[in-house]
Amino acid sequence: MAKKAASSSLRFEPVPGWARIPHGVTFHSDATSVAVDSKDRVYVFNRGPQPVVVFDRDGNFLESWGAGEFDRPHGIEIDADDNLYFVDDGGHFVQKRTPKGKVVFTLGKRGVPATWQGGGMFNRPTDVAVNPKNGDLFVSDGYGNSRVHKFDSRGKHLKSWGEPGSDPGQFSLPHNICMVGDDRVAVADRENFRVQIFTTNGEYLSQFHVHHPMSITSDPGPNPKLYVGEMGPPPVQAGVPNLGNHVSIFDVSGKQLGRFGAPLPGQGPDQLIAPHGVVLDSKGDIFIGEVSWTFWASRLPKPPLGEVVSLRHWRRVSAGAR
Amino acid sequence: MTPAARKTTGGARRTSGKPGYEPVPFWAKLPHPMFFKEATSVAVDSKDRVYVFNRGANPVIVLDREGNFLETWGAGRFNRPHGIYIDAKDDLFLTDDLDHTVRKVSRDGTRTHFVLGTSGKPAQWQGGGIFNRPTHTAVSPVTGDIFISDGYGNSRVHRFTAQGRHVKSWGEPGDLPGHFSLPHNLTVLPDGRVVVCDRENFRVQVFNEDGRFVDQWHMHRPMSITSDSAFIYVGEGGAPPVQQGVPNLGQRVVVLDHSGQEVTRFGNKVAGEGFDQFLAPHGIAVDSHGDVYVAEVSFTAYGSTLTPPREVPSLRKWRRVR
Repeated sequence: MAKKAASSSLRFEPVPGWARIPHGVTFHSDATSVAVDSKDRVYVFNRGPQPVVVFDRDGNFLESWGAGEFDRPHGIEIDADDNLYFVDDGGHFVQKRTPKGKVVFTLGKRGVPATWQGGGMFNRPTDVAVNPKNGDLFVSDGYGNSRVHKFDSRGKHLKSWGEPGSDPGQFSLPHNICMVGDDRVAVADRENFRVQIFTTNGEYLSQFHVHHPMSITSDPGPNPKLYVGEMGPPPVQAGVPNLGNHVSIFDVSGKQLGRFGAPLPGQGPDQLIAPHGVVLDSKGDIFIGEVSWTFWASRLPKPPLGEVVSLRHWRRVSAGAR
Repeated sequence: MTPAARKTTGGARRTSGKPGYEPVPFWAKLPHPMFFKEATSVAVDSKDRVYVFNRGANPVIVLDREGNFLETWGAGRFNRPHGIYIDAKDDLFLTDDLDHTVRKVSRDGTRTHFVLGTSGKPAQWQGGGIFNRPTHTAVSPVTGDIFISDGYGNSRVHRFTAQGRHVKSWGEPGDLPGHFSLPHNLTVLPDGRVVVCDRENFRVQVFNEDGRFVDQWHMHRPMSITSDSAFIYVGEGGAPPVQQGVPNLGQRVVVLDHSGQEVTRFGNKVAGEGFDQFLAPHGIAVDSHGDVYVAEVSFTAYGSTLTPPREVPSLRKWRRVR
């Protein structure tokens, strides 16, 4: 029998309609990823006409920018100094920008992929993590590679690891990456249905089973927890309940501590569609960016004309409440 | 699939050390114009005769160890062949997924001992009843009880007595321990542990005969499994479309010891029609010499996608060479 995942202190409730968006700004139903800065401002990297849209913590629109500067938004990260990092899979580049959006450096060359599955930098990279200790960068790569690349804070390449496969240290679509404390890296090895943990030098430490992990982040503190956004099943299992479309919370050993999201995908407040990016703010509340157009709406018999929900906010319910 | 208990013969065969295998090209010789279309499953009896359950016009084709044709039967009797298993008395268990039944028949097909499930009548989709597109059958060498994985429209393992009386069922849709996402094949080890290919969860799960979860092992989309006194043999399926063409993702046979440690593996890193390649290793069996037979749904997975569609190799023999 399955062990029920339960933790009374790790409960979340959805906050539907959290973001209020000026007419004319749209995510095109693909708010691919989300990051939060030191003031709990929420940055949404999306596939609409304004690739970067910023909200305050109450969901009020602050600003938007980036038109024409990205080919296909995929991942976003913010460091301790509020610098921004963008991962553009269609453009094959990773970019560091100041908090105001000025380019600091670009890794990879926009529009120029490395050899498919050759291990070079990059072929459709997916996500980036920043080491809080020294600013080192870790890039997951991606749709056309099976690698993690490590750089120092100035963008100098230090090392890369990984190859195609299903053994420890191998990848099948490394899709998201996060730091665990300041000495480990966790990779969402999406098409291997697992999370792998490495040292910051790329030494394999452990793995645990997760349903189709798309997105991953961790909380700060001495015993970090991992928050994993799980994608739904392949077409052969379409419609079967309880397969992905959750955010699941694990300790580093892979013990499940909590989970939310309804058993089936959809636009309802407690449902998820394709949790492609996940992040926590300073209060432990969760923001989820979804690729709802790419993975869901575009595949419906009659794709909806208007916006489909792709940005979710789940608020942590404090212990003892309710 | 051969019951492990019978595999204590073969004194000439080493049961320790790392085994080695080589492909046997053009092994099966069929009388013109007999064909498999695709061999979905394969089993070996006490005389090392090889039974090929297939989707051509002759659903059961029997060959000797050298691949010479012996007999055929079953024309018109099956809806969609999926799994074949032979017990210690050389009776056959034939799993027909679209007929929603498992039939126990004599090895020449003339006598039907009993039928489990109702022909043509599925249980409620994902309701846990008996059956909705069952996939495979195995018999415990300890108790003689029958275990059935179910399947495409259920997320269950069912246990029956040797006489066909239902004892219990376990499993539900999901990704936690004891949950399944398309249980596609199973085997029972000499100590009674039931090992299930949880295909779309990219793992093998181990249970005791009462369905208590014991362990899980990461595998690449495991489709087929068998065991003998020494080893467990798993046929791994290929990657989803998003990873098409990436080398080293499934399409191979992995040989494990009974604790789940990999002993060796065989199969080219890339899928294909070559002698050392696989296309979709859907069924697997081992004879008394340790030679491995693999049946593949290569028409469904590959041949049907060609222009014009054609039959491609679907039955492989790999000889044990050490």
